[in-house]
Amino acid sequence: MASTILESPTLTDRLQRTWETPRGVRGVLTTVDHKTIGIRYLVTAFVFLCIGGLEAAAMRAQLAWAGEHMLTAEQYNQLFSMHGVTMIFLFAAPVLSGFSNYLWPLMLGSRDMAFPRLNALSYWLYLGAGVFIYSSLLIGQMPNAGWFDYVPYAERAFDPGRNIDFYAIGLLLLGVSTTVGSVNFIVTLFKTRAPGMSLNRLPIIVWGTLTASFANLFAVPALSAALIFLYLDRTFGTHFYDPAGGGHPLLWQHLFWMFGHPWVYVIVLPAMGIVSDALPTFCRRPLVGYTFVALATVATGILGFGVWLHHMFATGIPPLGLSFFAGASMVIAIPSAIGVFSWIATIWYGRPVFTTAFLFMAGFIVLFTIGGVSGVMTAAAPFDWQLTDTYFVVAHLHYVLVGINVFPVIAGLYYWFPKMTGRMLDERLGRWNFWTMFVGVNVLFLPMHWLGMMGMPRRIYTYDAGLGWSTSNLIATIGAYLFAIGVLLFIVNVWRSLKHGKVAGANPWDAGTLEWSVPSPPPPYNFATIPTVASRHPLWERHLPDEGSGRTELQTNTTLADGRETIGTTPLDAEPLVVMRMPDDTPWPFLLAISLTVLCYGLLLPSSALSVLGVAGALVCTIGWLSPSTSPLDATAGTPFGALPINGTGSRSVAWWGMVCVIATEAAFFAYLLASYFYLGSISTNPFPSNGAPELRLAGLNTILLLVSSGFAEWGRRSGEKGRTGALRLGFIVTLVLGIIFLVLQGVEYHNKGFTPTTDAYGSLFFTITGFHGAHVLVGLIMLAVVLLRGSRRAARNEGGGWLAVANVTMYWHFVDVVWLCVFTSLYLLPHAR
Amino acid sequence: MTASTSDTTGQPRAPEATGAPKHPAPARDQIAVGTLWFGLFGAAAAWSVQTIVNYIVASHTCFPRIYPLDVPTIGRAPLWWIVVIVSFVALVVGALGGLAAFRSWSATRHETGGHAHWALETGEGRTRFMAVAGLVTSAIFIIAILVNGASAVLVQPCW
Repeated sequence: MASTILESPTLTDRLQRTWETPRGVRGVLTTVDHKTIGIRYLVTAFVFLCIGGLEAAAMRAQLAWAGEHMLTAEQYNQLFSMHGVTMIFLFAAPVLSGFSNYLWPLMLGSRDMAFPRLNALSYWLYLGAGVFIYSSLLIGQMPNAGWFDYVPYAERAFDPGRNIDFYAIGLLLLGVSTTVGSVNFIVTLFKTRAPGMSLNRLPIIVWGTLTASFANLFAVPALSAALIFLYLDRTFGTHFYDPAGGGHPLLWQHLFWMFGHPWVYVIVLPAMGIVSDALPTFCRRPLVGYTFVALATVATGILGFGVWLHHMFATGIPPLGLSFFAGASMVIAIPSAIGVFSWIATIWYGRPVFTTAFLFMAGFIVLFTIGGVSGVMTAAAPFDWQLTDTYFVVAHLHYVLVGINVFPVIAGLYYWFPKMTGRMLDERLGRWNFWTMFVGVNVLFLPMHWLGMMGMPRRIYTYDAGLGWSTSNLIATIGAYLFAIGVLLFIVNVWRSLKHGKVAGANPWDAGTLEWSVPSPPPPYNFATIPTVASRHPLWERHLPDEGSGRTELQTNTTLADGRETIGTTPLDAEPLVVMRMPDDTPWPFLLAISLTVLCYGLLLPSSALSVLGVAGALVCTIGWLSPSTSPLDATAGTPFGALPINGTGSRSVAWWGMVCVIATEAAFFAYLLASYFYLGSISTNPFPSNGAPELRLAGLNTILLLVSSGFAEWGRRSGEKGRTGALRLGFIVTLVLGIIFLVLQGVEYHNKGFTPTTDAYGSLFFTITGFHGAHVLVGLIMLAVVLLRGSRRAARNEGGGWLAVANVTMYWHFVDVVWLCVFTSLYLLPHAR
Repeated sequence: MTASTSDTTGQPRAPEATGAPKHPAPARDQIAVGTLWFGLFGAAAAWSVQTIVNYIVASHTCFPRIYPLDVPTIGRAPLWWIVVIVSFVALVVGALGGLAAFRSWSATRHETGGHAHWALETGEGRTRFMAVAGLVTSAIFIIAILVNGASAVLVQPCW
């Protein structure tokens, strides 16, 4: 295609006016700019890092000497629990979201993420969840059963305060934030890359965050299910984890670690991506074995789902069952080692420049190797039996998490700080920063290996003299404070450099990826013209003449300046597909997050008034948010690639992809609910089902109703596509009526049941599973009604948004029906087959 | 940074790329997308199913309710056969995935020129990137399937 330079002042002024967020409070609360949101994520995560660090400092002070009682046992319980919750949930993952939010559109050659408003919502929910969990401090009841919150300790009978309620509800809210963020990343990756940015040209951090986002879609629902069970047990007396009622504590452990281990990779894979992308810049050569590293990232993410049981080696599960997970836990070392060898080879074959960022990355390789090796050791079940719940495990997990998360994060900040702020961080202070942190982390955690070997258990608030633990503990405490000084030096460096740092320029490191092609800091629109990419290192093509196919064009005539626009492309090869009209700044994400946080307080107290207020607020915000697009169905925009549809319909549109992702994560949620049903059914000592096999008449009728309704919804959709809006309306009205009858019959069945959710674990599961399905039917009905009122009218006027909504709501309705078929088979039919 | 005509192992690189950007996957029509995806994730899917099925059978037959057993409820030999058969099927599916990746690789290896090693080094050529990626993931997951299946021989089923 022809390359015409159109980056004229007129164009950039116009883009600036279009994309700029207004200053002041309004701008702060309404912005959807991915760069602002990314920086907010980074700053907020660092605030939580400091809070979690202070908690650790208090614990290390307590453990420095034998017999210390500066903290009581209860205070210590709350501190170690909140330290884990803060670092794992409120720092380690969100800080990586910060990088990805900031960098993705710049690296991928786009003007924003696929769903800018979801992006804002994700951040506000994260902040809301953090504030909600920490508000427990105001009443002195912070979570106190550890970051993995094992039952039965966490059940109401043993932990009667509000502590665990803050944990359960707060993490549910955080789960919503994580999920919408993940949907956004996935759709952004597959739909909003610059032309030519094919799958094989993605930076590794993109591979890391993409893998993490897919992992989140399928792992977070396990935690959500576990937390909902816990909340119901504690608040309403259900029996999910109560053995006397047919439940089982191990259900929590299974669900938690089905989430927990993939989450470990969620918080390390993007961080490893930071190193894979930044290290080559300082080695003056491309990453060695790019394909290996990209695929090792994906393989690690998948294997991460098959190792959850290694957290449960000591729970009495039979040896053969354990061995499958021990094997997988060792095999996962293979893709991890691929990364390590790739980084070492990149340094070996390159010409390293020993900047502070490079030092942090080199430090990361050392710490990752140490943490990885102790991980392989604990993957052997007999070894784990000796050391489980000792400080050896604490040493291992901190080497892994500090090594693979904190060090790359700091390296990434030294690397991208100039892009974000236009100023360089101070290198001299940076070296002090690195060495204090590197020495500190080793002095802190290395002795914990010996402490574990000597039998010091985790989570004890003090210990007696004469056990041989005092010296190592004192050394560890000295290391902790040294490490804290290192973090403080980093904060000082940031503070000073923001005002006095050397001016950076667009590409101070002579790096090769797209984000360095725009000014530092980038303008609100990122790229004045959308680039056309020809290689993995668009800015190194002069140095790497044999890489890529052709030459990247940074200044093209793809201006897209009729409002907030960017280009939508195909998933694999990034061929231009649509012109995407992006939303303006809006307060709805902020207000929705506030409403959901209010709902959380309503659930905590519990208070019906607050809950209703939260739900009503959320409904109002959702309706305000979903005001339909005004572009006609057949609207097109002229581009250098020809006339492209605006937004597009079906799989061309981001909304369709978003709905697919939502359905995937919802399907995973129901899969975990049904897995819990079968698990408790297989180990419960109570009759299961309690009253014998359930009666089939009403449920069978309901099944027929839903299947028929799906047929009508599909008929309506297809008729609408052919322009027969009358048939579309009729199809959707019949679907609505059948859905309402379904809910009424479900209510009748509930009324006739001879048990309740609190009768036993079967009752708890039956009502929870069918209740959640019913809630999904209700949501589907609301969507159908809204589409019927708005969409079909818009369809009659041949306008785009209506059609899009018709396709999406029909897909959702089919999904609800498929879920019902699974529920009906599992809960109703199978008990008759026994 | 300096340009060179050979990579770090001395293998020849792709010819110099010049001119306007070209399509990133010239060989995209030479292999079905389904074959590429199966090559990428077939072995991983087989391993996932193997792990879940084997775990459920092995744990439930040795620990059916509240007390662990010395001998599986279905007997040692039947449990052993189930684990072996499931593992064998997984291995076959994994191998088919690897084969699909190899076929894709054979059909597209010259997609954008350069030696095979070049595809591993730079990933250039989207179709062959997915093909070679399938070889990598298939190899990793076939190892995982073998390790998983080896448990049946090496580890006693119950306490």
